[in-house]
Amino acid sequence: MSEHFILPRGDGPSLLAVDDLRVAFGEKQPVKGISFEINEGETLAIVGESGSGKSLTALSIMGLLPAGGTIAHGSIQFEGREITTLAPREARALRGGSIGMIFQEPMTCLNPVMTIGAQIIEALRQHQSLSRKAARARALELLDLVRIPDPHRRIDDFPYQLSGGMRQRVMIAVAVACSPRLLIADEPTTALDVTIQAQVLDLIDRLRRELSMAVLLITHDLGVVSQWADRVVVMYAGRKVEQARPDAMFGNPLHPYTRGLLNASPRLGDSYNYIDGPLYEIPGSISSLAGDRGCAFAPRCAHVRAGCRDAVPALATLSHGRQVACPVLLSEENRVTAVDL
Amino acid sequence: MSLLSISELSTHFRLPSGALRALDGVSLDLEAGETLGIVGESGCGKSTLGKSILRLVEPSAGAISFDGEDITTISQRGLALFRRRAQMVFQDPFASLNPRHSIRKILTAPLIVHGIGGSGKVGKAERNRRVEDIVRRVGLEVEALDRYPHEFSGGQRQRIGIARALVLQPDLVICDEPVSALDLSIQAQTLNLLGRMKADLGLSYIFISHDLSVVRYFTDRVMVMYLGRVVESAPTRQLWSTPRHPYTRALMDAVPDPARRRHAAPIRGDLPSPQNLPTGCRFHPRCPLATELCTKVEPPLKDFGNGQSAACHHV
Repeated sequence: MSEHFILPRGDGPSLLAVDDLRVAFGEKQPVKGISFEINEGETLAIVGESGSGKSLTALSIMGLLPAGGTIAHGSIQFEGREITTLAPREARALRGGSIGMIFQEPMTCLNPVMTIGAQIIEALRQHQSLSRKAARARALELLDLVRIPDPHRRIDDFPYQLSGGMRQRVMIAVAVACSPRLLIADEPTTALDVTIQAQVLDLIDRLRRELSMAVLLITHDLGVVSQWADRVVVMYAGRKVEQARPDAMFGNPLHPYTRGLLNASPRLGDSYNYIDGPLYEIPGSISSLAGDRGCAFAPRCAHVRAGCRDAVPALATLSHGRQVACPVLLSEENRVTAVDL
Repeated sequence: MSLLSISELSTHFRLPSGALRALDGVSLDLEAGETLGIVGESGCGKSTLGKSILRLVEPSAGAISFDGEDITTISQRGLALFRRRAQMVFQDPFASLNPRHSIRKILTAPLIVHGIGGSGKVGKAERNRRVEDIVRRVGLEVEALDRYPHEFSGGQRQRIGIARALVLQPDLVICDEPVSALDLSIQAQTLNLLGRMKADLGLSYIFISHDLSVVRYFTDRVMVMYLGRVVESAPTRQLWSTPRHPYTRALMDAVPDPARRRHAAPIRGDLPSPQNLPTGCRFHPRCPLATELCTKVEPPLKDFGNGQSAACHHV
């Protein structure tokens, strides 16, 4: 696909390295050992349906697992430093400092009784020694950076006075206030209208370049992944099942789950209509698990074999950092390595 | 004769902060057996339209005629008969099922309300027969009837929501974002179910959605709405082959699609509040084609033939 132009993006050393992360809630283990790296300046997307463990993975990095959840195993290294064992004070310095984050619903994340300016100033003064005056000036710069029109007038507004898209811009301003190295965006546009979604994702991408930060994008939306990610990790039931560049993943999905998802989604660029026939269906739901021994997708899989229920398939690494956890399709398609560009 | 015919329907709400013109002069025709998609962003009036048709909210002006009968002036008894033939499927399968009622009770309630089956043992048996039939049709086991909503996944709950709408054997079903809260793999299952039910039971759908790709797959005809007005209406294939209205085009460009690289910058500006509508064409503050005329005069729907019409001075 030579017509794709590749934006200049960092291939530098890894900024974040997650290794065999397992998250436990009592007996349950919703994240069952996931590993990935994020390089400086790149956008890595984790895509999955509800119950895939994608949000818990993001919250583990932030040290913000919900009550009852613990990191049962594995390590998370940020800039070469282990962050799962940080003291609360050090963790607070990291959050909102070197790692910024934004969430799905800006209305519930912003404080409704504080002006947006006060919230940005609070974030700044928490991490940097700035005078009130200097912090306010910086807050105005940040509102301008995230393209809030007329920042001088808006800075003293309360969140309820802003639209959903504007609130998400304010959330982004708070998140990037201290020039983080990594921005974690957990479903940042799911609550937004589609024309506003495009604006917000373009904004995040512009800031990524201007502030040379990396972005971890958590989403369920394959379209968003295809347009804004450099690499994609597909999660299913707490594990990584596939990892690829978007053009490779959409052009030639290798895991039966990824294939199923792509086939099951009606495409905007496709005139296929209900009159022509039904959509492809992945049977069952993510709750139909195969127990802990086998491949979690086996009960829903069109390619399932006897061995699939006996052991969790290992991730095979192909060229260009591509990974897939399905020996059945790999053996059926020996040509995959050849077309894996 | 159309199954449903709506003319110049308006629904305004009076709020402490002023009037909200949620729906402003919308007309449409729905033929029997057809699926009409209503697409647009927040505040476009698509949900208000669905609720106004069933008179779950009272329209302020305009006429709704169903099978030749005017619904806006009908008697209470007539309204009850109409609602037996026109049902609704809601977006959120978690919020729209009473958590303290068994599935049997949830599915039997509409039959009791509409006096179906009659009284006594015979009536009860008839209602049970209908409920068991519909629960199988939507792909659940009869055993599900004696369980409660929390025991089901989101996709299964939406099947129950669909069963509740279909148990009365309606002619028209208004689906308000029926797959928006569902995971991708469950969306396909649910759309296929709705498609099967339409073919098996001879239904007509009004399919309200913000998701253009779903609308493109599942509808025969589409109406694009913006801030309470219809901006474009066309057969589905035609709308995608030649979108006329600049808003339709902006909406299509904004949807990220794996099959296509981004080519256009997203349209600028925010969605205005429906309480503070722009003058002239409501889209003009965000429109790349806007001229002086657009700020002053609201464009009428222009007919392009082949069932396509668009409200823009510049197309």
